[in-house]
Amino acid sequence: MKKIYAVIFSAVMLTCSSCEKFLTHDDPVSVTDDNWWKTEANATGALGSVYAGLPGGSSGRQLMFLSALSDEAVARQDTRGAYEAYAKGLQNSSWDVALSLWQDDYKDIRRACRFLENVDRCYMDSSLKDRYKYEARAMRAYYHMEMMLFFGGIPIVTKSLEPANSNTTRNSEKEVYDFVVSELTECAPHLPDVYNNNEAWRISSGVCWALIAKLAMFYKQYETAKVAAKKVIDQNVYALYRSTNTKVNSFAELFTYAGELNKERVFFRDNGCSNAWRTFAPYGVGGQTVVSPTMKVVNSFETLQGRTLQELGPDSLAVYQKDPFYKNNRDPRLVASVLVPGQIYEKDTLRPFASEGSDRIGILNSTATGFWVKKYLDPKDRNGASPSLDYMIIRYAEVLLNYVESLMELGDWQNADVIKHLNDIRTRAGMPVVDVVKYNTQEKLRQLIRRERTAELAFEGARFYDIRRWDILGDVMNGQVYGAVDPATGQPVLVETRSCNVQRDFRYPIPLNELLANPKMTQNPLY
Amino acid sequence: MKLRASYGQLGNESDVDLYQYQTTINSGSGLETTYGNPELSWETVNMSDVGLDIGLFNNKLEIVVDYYNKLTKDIILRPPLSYTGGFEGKVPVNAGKLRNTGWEASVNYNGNIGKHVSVSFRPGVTYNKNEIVSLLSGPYVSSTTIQREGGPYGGIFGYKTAGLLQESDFDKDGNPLIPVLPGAKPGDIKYLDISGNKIIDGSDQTLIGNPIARLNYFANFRVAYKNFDLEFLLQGTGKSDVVLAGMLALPMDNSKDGGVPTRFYADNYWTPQRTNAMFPRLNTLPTNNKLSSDFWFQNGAYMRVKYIQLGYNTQADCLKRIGIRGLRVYVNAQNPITFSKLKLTDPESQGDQWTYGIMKAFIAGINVQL
Repeated sequence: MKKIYAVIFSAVMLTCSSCEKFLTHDDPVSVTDDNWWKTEANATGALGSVYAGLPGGSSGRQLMFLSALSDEAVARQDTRGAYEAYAKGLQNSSWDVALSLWQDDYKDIRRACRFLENVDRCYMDSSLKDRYKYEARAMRAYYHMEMMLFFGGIPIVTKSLEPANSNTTRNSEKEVYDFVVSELTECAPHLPDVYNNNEAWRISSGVCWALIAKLAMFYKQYETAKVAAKKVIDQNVYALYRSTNTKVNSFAELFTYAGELNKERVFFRDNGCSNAWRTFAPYGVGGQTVVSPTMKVVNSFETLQGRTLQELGPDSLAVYQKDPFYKNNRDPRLVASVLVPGQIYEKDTLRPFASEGSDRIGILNSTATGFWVKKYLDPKDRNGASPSLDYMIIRYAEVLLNYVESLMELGDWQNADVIKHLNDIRTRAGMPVVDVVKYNTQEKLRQLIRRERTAELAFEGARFYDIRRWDILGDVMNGQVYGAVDPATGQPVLVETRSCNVQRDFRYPIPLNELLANPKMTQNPLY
Repeated sequence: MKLRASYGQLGNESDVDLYQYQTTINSGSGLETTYGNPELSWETVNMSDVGLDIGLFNNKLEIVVDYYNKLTKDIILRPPLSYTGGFEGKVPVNAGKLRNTGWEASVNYNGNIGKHVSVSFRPGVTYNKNEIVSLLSGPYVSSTTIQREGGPYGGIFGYKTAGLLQESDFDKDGNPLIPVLPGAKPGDIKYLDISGNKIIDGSDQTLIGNPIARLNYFANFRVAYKNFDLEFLLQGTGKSDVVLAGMLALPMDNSKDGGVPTRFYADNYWTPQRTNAMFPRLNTLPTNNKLSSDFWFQNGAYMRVKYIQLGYNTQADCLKRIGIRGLRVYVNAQNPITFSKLKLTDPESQGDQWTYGIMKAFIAGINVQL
C-alpha cells in the first residue's frame, strides 16, 4: 500500500512541476519572430514591406497633391485629404494629412529597424544580406527626411521600440539633418549604382546622393547640395529622357507609358500614379479633378521664344491669359502639364464656363479653376483594366536643377555647367537655349533657374518646398487665387482666398493623437 | 417576501481573445500582426447583489428589486501608443478597475377586475452607472473617446462650447476679442479656452459627455374586456449625449458629400439677424465646426410606444354555421408615438443622413379559424 501512495505522490509531483508549461499553449498556427526569419525569401519579403511605404504621386501619400499647398494649384474634395483647409490657414492638430504622414513614416521606420534587427537570423548569401541591410538603412533615413521636411525636428528612431517604452522626444532639426546625411553618405558606397530593370525601384547609390542634394537645398547647404548632385551626374547612369519617336515631345512622353522605362527616373514608386487618371482627369472623361492648376502657374510658363509674359507687356499678357496656347506659342511643357478651356481632350471639349456639361467649373468632381493637371495622364488609363503608371519621386532633371541652383547660390553662376545643364533641360522640352546675353548676372540667373524649376517640375510637389526655402511662403500663399478667364466677364475667375501665417504654416502640426498618447511630444509653434 | 443577497468572484472571459500574450507576425512580410503581452492576466469580476422579491395579493402582484455593485478588476484595454514606435497595432494590458453600480426593478401583475376585465402589466426599469475607478497611466484618448479615472467607460472627448460666435465677439475690423480658431467668423462654434492659454488648441479638449443612457425602462400592458383586448408596449431611455453628425449637422460641406440643407436647416442656421440659431453659418468648408464638441450634443432621452394592438375575438354561432370556428379582427401599430427632443434623427437608430430610421407601421387584419 505504501508503495502505491509513493507512486501516486511522485506522479502528482511530476505533473505539478510542469503545470506552468502544461497550461501554456502557444497558438498552433501562429508565426512569430522566433520561427520565421530563416531564409532569403523571408528577408526579401520583410525588406519589401519597408519599400511598401514609398509615397506615390496620386496614391499613398500623394506627393503631387503638395502642389495644392503652393500657388500652383488648388485642391478640392477633402475625402482625399483636407489640403484646401491648409491653404486657407484652417488646419489644426487634427489635420488628417499630417496624421497619416506621421503614422505611415514611423511604421516604415519600425519595419526597417525590425529588418535590421532580425535579418542576421536568415540563412542567405552574405553579400546580398549586406546590400539588403544598407538598403534598409538608407530607406530608414529617407523616411526620416520625408518627415523632417514637413515637421522640422522629429524623434530619430533607430531601433524597434518596446510598446511600454515608446514615448520619444523630438531631436533638433540639426540632429535629424546630420543623421540623415551621415546615414545616406555611409550607405551610398555600399549600394549598387544600377539595378536590373525589374528591381530598378530599389534605393541605389544615386538615390542617396540625390536625396542629400534635395535635403541640403532645403536647408540652404549649397556646398553639400552641389557635391552630392555632382556625384549623381558623374555616375553617368542617368540622362534626360529623349524619345526615339521624333514626332512627339520627349517631355510630354516622359509621363506616359511610352516613356515609363527611362534613364531619367532616379527614385520612383512602382504604380505610384496608377490612379492618376481618376484623380486628375476632367470629369467629362472619367476623372475627379482633385487638383486644379491656378492662373498664376499657367502664366509663369515662357513663350516658345523664351520670353516671359511679363516681359511682353500687359497686352500680350491679356492675350495669353485668355488663350494660354495662343498660336501654339508657349513652352511645350505647359501643353504637356495643363489642360485649358476650349481644348479638345479625348474627344471631350473642355468647357468650364458653359452653362451645362460635366466640365463646368466648380461642380463636384470638376475643375475648380478652369484648368486641369495633364501631367501623368495617359489616355490608356481612361478605360484601362490595370493601370500601372509609376511615379518619379526624384528624376534626373531635378538633380540637375539642384546642381545649377547650388552653383548659382554659391556665387559660381558663371560656371559653364550652369548653362550646359539648363540648356539640356530646355532643349529636351523643345525650348530654345538660354539667352546668355540676357541672363548675365547672378540675380537674373536666379530668376531664370527658379522659373525653370516651376516649368519643369510643375505639379510634382517640388514647389511646396521651394516656396519655403526661397522665403516666399507668405508672399505667394496669402490673398486671392485666380483661375481661367471667364468669357462672360473677360476676367480671370476668383477661385478662393487664402490665408497663411508663415510662423505657423511653414510646418505641419504634430498630430493631436501623438500629443495625447505621448506626454514627451511637443507641438510646433502656434498650433 | 424574500430577501436575497449574493457575492461572487469570477473570471471574465467574454470579449477576451485567445493567445493575447503572444506577438505574431505575417508569414509573407514579417510585419507584426498582433502585439502580445506576456504579463496579461484575465479580468476578475467581483459582484455583489442585494435583491428583494415581494408577492402580494396571492402573488397576483410580484415585485422584484435588485441592487448590484460590480467591480471588474484588471480590465483589458489597449491604450493608445506613441506613433513614433511605428506599431501596427495596440497592446492589451490589464489597465484598471471598472465599477458598475445600479439597480433593477420589475413589477408583474396579473389579475381580474370583476367578471369581464382581466389586466396584466409588467413594467421594468434599470439604472446603471459605470465609472473607471483606476487606470494605468491614463487617460486613454483616441480622437473622440476618452477613458479616464472618474469618467464613464467610453466617454466622449472634445471641446466644450458656449453656443455660436457673434459679431460682438469681434471688433470692427473682424479681429476676435476672445480666443478663437484661425479663420473663425461670427456664426462659427464658440469653443471654450478651458486650458486658459489664450488660444483654442488641443489642450482645451476634455471629457465632454457620455453616449450611453444610464436609465432604461419598458412596460408591457394588457387589458381584456369580454371579447376585446388591448395590448401595448412602451420603452424608453433617460438622458444620453447623441452627437449630430454628417449632413444633418453640416450640409453643403463640399469636402464630404455636399448635401442640400433641409427646410428645417434653412430656417435654423446662423445669420447676423438670427443670432440664437441652432446651427452655425452656412459654409462649404466648415473645418472649424467639424471638431468633436458638445455643441452637437442632443439629449437622447425618449419614450416610445413600440407596439399597440386592439383586437376582437368571436366564436359566434352564426359563424359556425358557415364553417368558421373562430374569428379575430385586429388593428395594430408599431412605433406610432414617440416622445423625444431629437428632431433630426430617430432616438433608437440615431446615426446620420444615411441611416434608415425606424419605420412606423399600421396593420389591420382578420384571423379566420376554419
